[in-house]
Amino acid sequence: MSAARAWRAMSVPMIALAVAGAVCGSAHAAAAYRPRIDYQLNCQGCHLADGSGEAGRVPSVRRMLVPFAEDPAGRRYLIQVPGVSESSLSDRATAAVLNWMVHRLSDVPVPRNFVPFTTAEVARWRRIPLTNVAATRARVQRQIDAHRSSRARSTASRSTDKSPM
Amino acid sequence: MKWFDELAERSARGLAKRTSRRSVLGGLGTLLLGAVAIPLLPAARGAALKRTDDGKNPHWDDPTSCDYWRHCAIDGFLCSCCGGSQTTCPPGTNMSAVTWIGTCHNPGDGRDYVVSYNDCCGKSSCGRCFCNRNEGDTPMFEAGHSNDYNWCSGNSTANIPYHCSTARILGAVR
Amino acid sequence: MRAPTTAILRCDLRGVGRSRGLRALAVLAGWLGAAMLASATPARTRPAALPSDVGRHPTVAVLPTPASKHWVWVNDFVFPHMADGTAHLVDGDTGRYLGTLSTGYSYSHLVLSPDGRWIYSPETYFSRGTRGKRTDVVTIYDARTLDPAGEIRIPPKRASDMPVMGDVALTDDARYLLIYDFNPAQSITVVDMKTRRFLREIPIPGCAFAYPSGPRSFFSVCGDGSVVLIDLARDGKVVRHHTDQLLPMGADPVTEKPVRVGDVWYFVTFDGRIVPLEVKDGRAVVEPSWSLTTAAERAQGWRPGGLQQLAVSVPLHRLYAIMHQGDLTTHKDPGKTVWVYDLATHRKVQEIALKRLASSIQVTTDAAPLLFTVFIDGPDLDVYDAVSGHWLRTVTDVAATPTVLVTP
Repeated sequence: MSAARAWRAMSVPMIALAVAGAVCGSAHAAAAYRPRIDYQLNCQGCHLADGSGEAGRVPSVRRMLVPFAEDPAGRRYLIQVPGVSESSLSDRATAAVLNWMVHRLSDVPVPRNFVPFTTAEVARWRRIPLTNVAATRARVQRQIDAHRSSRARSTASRSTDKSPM
Repeated sequence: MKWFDELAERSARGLAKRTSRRSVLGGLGTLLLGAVAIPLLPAARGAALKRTDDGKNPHWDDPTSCDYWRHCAIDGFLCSCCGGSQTTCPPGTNMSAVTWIGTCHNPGDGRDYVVSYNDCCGKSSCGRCFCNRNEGDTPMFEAGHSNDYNWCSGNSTANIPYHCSTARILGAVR
Repeated sequence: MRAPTTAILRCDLRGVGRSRGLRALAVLAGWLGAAMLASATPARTRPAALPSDVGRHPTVAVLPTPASKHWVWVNDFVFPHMADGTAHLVDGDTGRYLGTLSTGYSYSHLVLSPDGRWIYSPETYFSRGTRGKRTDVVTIYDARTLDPAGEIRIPPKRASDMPVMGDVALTDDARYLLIYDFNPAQSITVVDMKTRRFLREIPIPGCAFAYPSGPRSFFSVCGDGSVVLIDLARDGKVVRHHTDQLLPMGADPVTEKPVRVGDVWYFVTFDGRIVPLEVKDGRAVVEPSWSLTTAAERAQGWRPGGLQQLAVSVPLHRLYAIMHQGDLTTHKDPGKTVWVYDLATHRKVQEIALKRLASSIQVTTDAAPLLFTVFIDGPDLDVYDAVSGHWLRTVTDVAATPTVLVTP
């Protein structure tokens, strides 16, 4: 395959990310590449190019990435999940991959005020292992869902107030 | 390798009979399922490769050869020898989406490429063109970079029967 | 009457030929009676007494009990035909092949119950051989008859990998069988061998294998070199503790092929460093590491390699390692020599030159142990005196792609 063709192949949106149980850690060949390449080498094997994973085996990241990244506990989870925390990528490269994923693999629109993952944030959390990955994820998801529905209720009531009557 | 000749002798029987002389070189590597190892970048792949006197790899561009440049970390039967190619699975098998991904150096243009070693699943072992190149392989503790897992393990449809391995290019490293 | 008949039979077998198939035919002929044998090979038959087995019903052999400490199970994942996994039992003292288990797709290895009565074997089957519905079971075999005596259904996610001992293990109290799962999510399936029921699945995301570390505890090793300690003791509850990084990964990582002496698991790195990990009472501590090689030996490229690359003799307090010369990427390569170390002094006490390449070794558990060696490309098993290092015998045509060796 020519290099040109290879590049075209790459232009397909590469997605993906991570999750519970799956491995996708990285090895010692931890050279610093562009985030897309780091994603390919360390995550895509399990989470696939579009982050959709394999049903029942590797979780999809497409709908969870943005809501988790918008929630403090969710952000910690994204850093602490083994596929991320145990990767041999540096803290800086890990933060870059997470940010790349948020922008490239999410079905949920990225808010304008999205706060990017930072090297310091990754450094702070990645070395604290999750004791129960699945339970943590489920708990965070419930919190996020609860938040969303309470926001939805308040939005609904506000719009009711404004309605001409 | 001191044991090269002995291995070559042994190739007259058993599994080796159906594989090339160099595949036997893999020794233990002669085994592994699926494609799974990740190459170091750029791969230092001297040991197992047949080289000409001037240090060139004469088969670097032959997809049915273990020495093909994309196979720098493959581990299994080459789909190119099994009715498929380096990018397609043989008829009647299905490709495991979940896989491991590494890099290989292309002597043709001097660049490193990201290679996805998707396994083809759902039939018994092809048994042809066994190839194992182990550079950069990690212990199975680092699962995503070990060539000792059968990646048909991630295939919901076939559910582990391993047939052969492809070597698909995802793009250039830089 | 029996003795001379046996002699005749042997004579006839020699005449029939060397191939296994023909020998089997000859045995069959023996069952049918000496007259038929005589007609098959008239030139070599003596007009003597009838074989003693005339008139007897065909019978099936059983194994003597208890099992000899010098027996060995040669596990074979039969790489070219993976639906046909097998385990082969050989008596190291006599070289006799004693029996076979047929163990399904992508076979790893069996585990022997400490009381010697049962053999536990995690197995995978498909309803149509290599396709159809996947079923994973632990088959329980009677260790005397090798008949399946029962089976326990387990989740269909047993790891399909290069077989290593950490794929399957029994807790020290023999109560729980631990099976490593990979699909590619990672977990440990726990089977209660007392009630013969699947108990639970314990997720170990990012970690791999089961290494027993107490009556009802084990640990798994994670990709970053940390260790997760798991205790099943309290009311069936799972207590887990995730340590900081303890084991080296990265450029010179520990392999997934450690061996155990009491509370200490001896890991080895690609470069031949021994990293002892002591695990007891819910704590894991790394002891000082030491090297299998001197600086001069390392300069010559000496390093351990192979699949089951280490073995130990607890009574002798010795460690055995398959050694070869090569660079860091040859960590799976076989070797033609076994180096032996005193575990107290860390000194090399012996080099055993092998008759042929070995990728797996095992040492029997008794005080006068045998050393077994196989090569992954098969098919022979070599037997050595593990003390003197002398070659004792070769058992031919044992396995197609022998992986790990299990001894009582």
